[in-house]
Amino acid sequence: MQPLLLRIDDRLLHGKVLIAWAVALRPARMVLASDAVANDPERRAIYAAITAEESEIAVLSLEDAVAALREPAAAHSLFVCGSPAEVRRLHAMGGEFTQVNLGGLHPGSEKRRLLPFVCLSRQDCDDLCALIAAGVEVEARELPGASRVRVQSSALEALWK
Amino acid sequence: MLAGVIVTHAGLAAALHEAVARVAGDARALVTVSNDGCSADEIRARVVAALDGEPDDGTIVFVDLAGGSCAVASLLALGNRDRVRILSGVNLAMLVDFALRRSDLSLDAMVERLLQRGKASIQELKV
Repeated sequence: MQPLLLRIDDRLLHGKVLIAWAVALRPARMVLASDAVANDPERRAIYAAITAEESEIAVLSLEDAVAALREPAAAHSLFVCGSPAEVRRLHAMGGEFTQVNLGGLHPGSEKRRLLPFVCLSRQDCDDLCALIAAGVEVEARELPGASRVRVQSSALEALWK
Repeated sequence: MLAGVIVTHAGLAAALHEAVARVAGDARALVTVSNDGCSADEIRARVVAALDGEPDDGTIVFVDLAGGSCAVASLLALGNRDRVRILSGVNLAMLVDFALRRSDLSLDAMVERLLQRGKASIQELKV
């Protein structure tokens, strides 16, 4: 089931998500889908302790996130992953979604800038192209009030030519 | 003597630091960290760098949004440091009070005081 938003953001749950997106979409639940966080007791405890005004916060492994995406409650939930690779895995594991929001992906040594708020490695581009090839629509939008930028495979391939 | 680190979104920490210097006359006890252009790991690295060399008496990390990237990065930067405390909702009243009294109070007493001062400074003003 397509959630309210499935976002790729390397800051995971943070101000823009907890405030700007939460005010715009009013999710009943915000799910941080990450094996790295779910399997790290310290990081899991920190993210699970975050409180939101109107939303429950959940930290789930990718496997549990796939199950959560099948539940009717997914339609009222916002999901966040930290990288295109995790979303590709989520999809390959049977996660049901047709749209992905590309939010904040910050610069790094092996990254090139696609948009002011989106920097991608070669692997990131491969993962996004695989999602697009599988029928997933990828849009880049940092904040809910901004205009949507449809991300095409051609632009991703050109970034690392 | 206590030290402080202000960790915020965009240029807020630097602006608060400048305001503390104007109001209290001395903001040297405070260093600033911005999350501008940083991934979660990079913000944490900046906070760790700011905490390195912290005084034995203790350090208070001031963050803006509870649950924001600065707060999460500060919590992750704590590690096993037991003389560092984190306060969210930083405002100028808290920072000025901290700058003026950081040599007079213990870490625990300062944390208790700043929580009170910070909340007390938020009020509806009426004539």
